[in-house]
Amino acid sequence: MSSHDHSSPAGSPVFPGARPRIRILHLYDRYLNIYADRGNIQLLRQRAAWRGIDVDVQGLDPGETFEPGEHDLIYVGGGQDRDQAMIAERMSVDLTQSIKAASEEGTALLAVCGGYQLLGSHYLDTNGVHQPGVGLFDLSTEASDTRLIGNVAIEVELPAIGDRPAAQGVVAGFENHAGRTSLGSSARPFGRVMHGAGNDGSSGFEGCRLHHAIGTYLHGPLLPRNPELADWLLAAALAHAHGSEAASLIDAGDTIPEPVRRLEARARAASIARAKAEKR
Amino acid sequence: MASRATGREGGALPGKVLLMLAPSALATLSNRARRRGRRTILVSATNGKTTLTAMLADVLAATGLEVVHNATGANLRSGIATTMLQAGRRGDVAVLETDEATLPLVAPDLQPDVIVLGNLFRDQLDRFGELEVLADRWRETLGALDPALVTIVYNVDDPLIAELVDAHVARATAIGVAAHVIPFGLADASVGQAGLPHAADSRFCRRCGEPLAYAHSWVGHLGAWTCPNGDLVRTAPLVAATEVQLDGLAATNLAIDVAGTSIDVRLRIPGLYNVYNAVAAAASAHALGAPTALIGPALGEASPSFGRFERIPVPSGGTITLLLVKNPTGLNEVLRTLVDSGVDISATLFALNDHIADGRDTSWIWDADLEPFLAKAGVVIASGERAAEFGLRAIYGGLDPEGVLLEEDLEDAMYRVLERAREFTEHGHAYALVTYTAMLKMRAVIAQQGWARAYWANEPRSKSKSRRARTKARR
Repeated sequence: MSSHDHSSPAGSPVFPGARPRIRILHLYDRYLNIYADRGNIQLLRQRAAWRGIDVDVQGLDPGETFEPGEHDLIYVGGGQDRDQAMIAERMSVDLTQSIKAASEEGTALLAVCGGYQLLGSHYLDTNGVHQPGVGLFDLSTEASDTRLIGNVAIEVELPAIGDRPAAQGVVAGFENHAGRTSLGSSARPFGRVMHGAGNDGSSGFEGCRLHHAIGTYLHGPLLPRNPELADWLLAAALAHAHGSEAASLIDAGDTIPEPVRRLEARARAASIARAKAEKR
Repeated sequence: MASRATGREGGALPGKVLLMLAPSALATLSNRARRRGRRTILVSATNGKTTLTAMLADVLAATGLEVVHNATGANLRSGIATTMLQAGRRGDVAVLETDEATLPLVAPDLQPDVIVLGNLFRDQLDRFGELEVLADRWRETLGALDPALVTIVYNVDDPLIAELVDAHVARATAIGVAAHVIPFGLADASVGQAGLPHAADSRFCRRCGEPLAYAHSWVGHLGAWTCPNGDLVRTAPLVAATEVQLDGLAATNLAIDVAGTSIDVRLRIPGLYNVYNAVAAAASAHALGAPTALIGPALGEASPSFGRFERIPVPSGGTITLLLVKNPTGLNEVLRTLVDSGVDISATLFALNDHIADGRDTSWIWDADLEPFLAKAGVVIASGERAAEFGLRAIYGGLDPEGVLLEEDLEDAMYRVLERAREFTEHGHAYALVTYTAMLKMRAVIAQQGWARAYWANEPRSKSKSRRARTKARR
């Protein structure tokens, strides 16, 4: 479970007096952007700012490419089937090598819903269109004629990064997907379903995690309700940017405003309560 | 108090029972009335259908027609059946607000004379799955009707709708029939915005997949669009708002060109999105042969529907204005109207519930552009069952963390916002942005207090009478 070996040795240390900096790449931000993907980005930016960490967010359009290592965190959002089908081919042709190499050398990654599906081997969508995937995760997805819709709560374990200890907890969100995702033999789920459907409604698995890359169906948006997960991603990004000892900078000081902590606790409790109460 | 279970089916019980006993009752009721000469208009849209249906009913009533109308907003199959049942064979025209997903279910039974397609926005994806699925169902609905017998009044500024009407026309032409269609839209670039907002739902041509080019957008993805490949063409609207002057929250002055004749309207319901409703009502009235000269004055008489910019005076002085919000585009437009009007918004609350009628997925609040509103308001009371979720949205949208006042209980929140209005604003005006079930609940408290009529009271269709009743209730 230890993943120190995936922290980039190339990361430059934070010199005294200098502010740490995280570079985020928002893939196909103009196409994959429903279900509050923007909220996840806003959160990463603001949460980092509260800790004195600078954040650059860069978008990427279909047809463009990026160099692995240029970014510390990659974000891939969701889209409706049609938007997704339009960019799937481009993404698999242009970005397969870069995404795999970036993840391999320790770049953090979060892919939600459609973005998650596109990081598997393929997605056979509701219109019967075969959308090629990037193949970062050992999984594949096929659309069913019923959608899995509702509040979800899952149990997750987030591995240690450098000195930053591993953590266990509950992640809450909302799912709405026609795809049923099957994990391959080498894939590890992101979490185990407590309430809700997850990857396929039957395996009890939700999402997938590889190194510091997470794919999940949970939106809502995911990060504002689950600040521990947001901090883990930022820690992974810091480790990539500035070396593994920088991971714990995300926990330094008590800099999250008190009203935010209170609201986070209430928001997550309400979300979990809904997931628990929903009849399926 | 309408409960969660009834949701938007409020007042729909008789129809529900009827449909259980006789599944084909809708067709039977409709045929019987048609034989007596009653015409049927179905009005559907994601946003504004309640207001648009009420405006149209007002206009038709002003031309002397007896109008049957599901005024309580019971817009599902059961609600429509209730309205038909209660109307019997009475009425010259039935103006029926129809839920987007219900339109395909009732159109074959009702065989409408006119279908009004207002707009399609992303809304409650937890219920509909995806927006394009809904557009496809509408296309099939039109495809199953005889194009010679139905008139389609449609918003040509919405490329999703324009595309499916285009297919309807082509299908009719192929069988040698001239389809009856009346495109409506906006034609005043001065109130448009360059480019598309974040929440724009339809950016691509449905024929070729190319991004549509927008000269400007008016509301969400409603705008002056073109397909760069020419695979889909926006026809010139037959009924269009040619001049629009927004006058804060008080009114909007507009000139509407109705098939070559210009009419002036002072619309007392604010917001650019309500200009679309007025134009759609004018186009629909025109489709039914209403005299153009009567349309303008009738639209000028229209007042807000329940919870839609509904301003309610409170006995302690000041007012509370209820603003129903339920999807990113709707919220954007309400906020834009509020912010641009220049009113003092120091006393505002946002009540977020997540029942079926609200949308169970609260993520939509993140897809709307709240930032200009938050910057101006400075403080917002967060209420409803998912109040904390809104609080976080506000803070991550730039509001000072101390600016979120958490008051989950709706009634407490209402009193608190009124208190703030008295304390911090000159005229005591409070604003409540509320999702559907929160609106019902707050409206029930308001009715209990006797500040306004109850939500579920059946609205008499004779307008002059109902207006007097309303004025009285507010005093």
